Amino acid sequence: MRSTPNSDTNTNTITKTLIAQHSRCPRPRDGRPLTAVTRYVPRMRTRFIKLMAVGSLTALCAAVASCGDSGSSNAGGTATTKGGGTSKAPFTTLEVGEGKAYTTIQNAVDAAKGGELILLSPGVYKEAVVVEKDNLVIRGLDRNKVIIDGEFTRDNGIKVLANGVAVENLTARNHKSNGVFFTGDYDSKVVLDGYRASYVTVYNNGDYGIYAFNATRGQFDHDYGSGHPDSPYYIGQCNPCNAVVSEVVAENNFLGYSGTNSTGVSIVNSRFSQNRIGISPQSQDGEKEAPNDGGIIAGNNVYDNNNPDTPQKDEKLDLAFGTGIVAAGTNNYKIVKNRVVDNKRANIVLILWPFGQIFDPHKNEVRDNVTSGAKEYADLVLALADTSGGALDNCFSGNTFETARPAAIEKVAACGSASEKGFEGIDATALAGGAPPYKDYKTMAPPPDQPGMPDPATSPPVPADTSWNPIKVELDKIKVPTKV
Amino acid sequence: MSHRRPFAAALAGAAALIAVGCGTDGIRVVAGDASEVPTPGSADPAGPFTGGLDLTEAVDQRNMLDVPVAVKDNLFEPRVVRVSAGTSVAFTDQGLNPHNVIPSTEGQFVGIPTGDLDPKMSKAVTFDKPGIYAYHCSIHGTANKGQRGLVIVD
Repeated sequence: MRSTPNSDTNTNTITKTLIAQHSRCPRPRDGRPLTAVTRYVPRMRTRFIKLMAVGSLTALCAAVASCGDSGSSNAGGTATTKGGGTSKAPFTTLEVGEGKAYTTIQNAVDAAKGGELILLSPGVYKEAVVVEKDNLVIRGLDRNKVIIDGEFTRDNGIKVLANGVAVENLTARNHKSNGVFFTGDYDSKVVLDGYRASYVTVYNNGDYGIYAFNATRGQFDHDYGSGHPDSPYYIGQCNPCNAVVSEVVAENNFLGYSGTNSTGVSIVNSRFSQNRIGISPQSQDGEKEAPNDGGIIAGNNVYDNNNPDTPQKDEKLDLAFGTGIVAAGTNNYKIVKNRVVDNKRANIVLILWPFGQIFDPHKNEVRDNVTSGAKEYADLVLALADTSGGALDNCFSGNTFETARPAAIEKVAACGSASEKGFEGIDATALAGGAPPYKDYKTMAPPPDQPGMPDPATSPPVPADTSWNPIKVELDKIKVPTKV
Repeated sequence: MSHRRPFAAALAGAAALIAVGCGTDGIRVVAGDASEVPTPGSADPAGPFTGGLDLTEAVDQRNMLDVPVAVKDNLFEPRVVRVSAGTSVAFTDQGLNPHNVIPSTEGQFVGIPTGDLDPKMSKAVTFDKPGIYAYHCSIHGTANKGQRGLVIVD
């Protein structure tokens, strides 16, 4: 049952046998079977032999209760993941799969305690998992063979309404709504605190792939998403979000990344290609916490987002097909050191949000990006409702580009100096409108296998608990990506 | 459309609502039997199920025949409403994503399934009997957390 090089199978068998024999020991309050729980307690054999010699049931029960605190140096070691946070040994693993103690993920979630690892064997899991328990880690043993399949009948693969939960090394596909969904408790001012999705593949879900809402302190890393009629990655309604999207891939979606009213998200060192639109943070009045008031988009490779063979929710989203980075009605975004090429309509766009309440972009900085190949409109675009007041402190400097609207964009809206007023206006409707027919997300081809996390069978769990923090983004260390 | 309800009109409206009629979109869902619904102040020691929501945050709409509830991404607004028996509560998706309205106590009323409450769509539920009706969107919440709401029927 146990899966660690430090495990002691004999000891564990003895431990479980003893526990089973002493059925008068109090069961855990959650009622889970003790025999289904594996604890890393190599020194327990000696302890139990001594206790049996004394014959004290009370002492035995106390020993069982203290198993998790045995303090053994062999008890799982200590792990640190990118972004900080440390998991201290020992830890408990609940194994799920055919022939394991738990046959459904939900049963294991219901039995688990905070800090424990739920380890999924390869298989197709046809269930909708709800997590309302803090600090769990749900991990697949094989990213490409542990699959949560919604069969286009279930809404979400894993829905998390608890703090500190991490989902790792698995695939979530074919859900009507979302693959993995982290959410706070709306309107009660209870914001989900701490979440992470690492080495997760999401594809062909009807809304988002990995979705964080009303949540703070989060991280998406090493994930892959394709075939979504919205976006594989979405972070919305949070201020501060304190979230990082790093080293992810998005291709063959409507949007590569979308985030509404999400102040404080960094999107770095990732690839967005073959979508309809690459990256788009926005401000909207349809969700709370407007406007979207600050974030970082840096070091990303954003190219060829002109793919008509992609899904889209409906015709109302016939927008901005063929654009790379579109910041719509955002403030205080730093869009720096990205490679944004061959998005045929436009590469980097600062534009007003025109639907419902109008949000003009303010104080965004577009600097040191490498762009080319936007033949239909321009590489760099600043589109405001009215230019008579100047550039609204939006600025462009140090970019490599071939075309821009206004043409002298780095002169009329240069960083570090007052902008000109009354410069060339842009027809935002012409820029934003139009898109080719789209495909049904259910018909999209599955993606190729993706690289899994290191040592999934043995790595100790690192929940996104209060000792953990997302990756710290250091802009000065980020470089413009090279050509793929 | 919401409007004030004179007493006579209320009686007539309640009678009409017993029959299958038209809600805001031409299809009306009639609430189920709520006879076993615990009422505020009932003798049930566990009290009525509220999904952890505060009854005192209720928006009093007891003078309205038709009560709108906005369904946004991802919340119901207002989250707690207080209405009179026979009131039609119209849920309208004003967000960008699909939602649903699922009774948190199974069978307490006929909910609105996924697919019937997509963006711009509207669907009404008529609450004929007094009680506390807890509901949630099963896509974006559970009975106890996330997108959920209450209808308190006097």
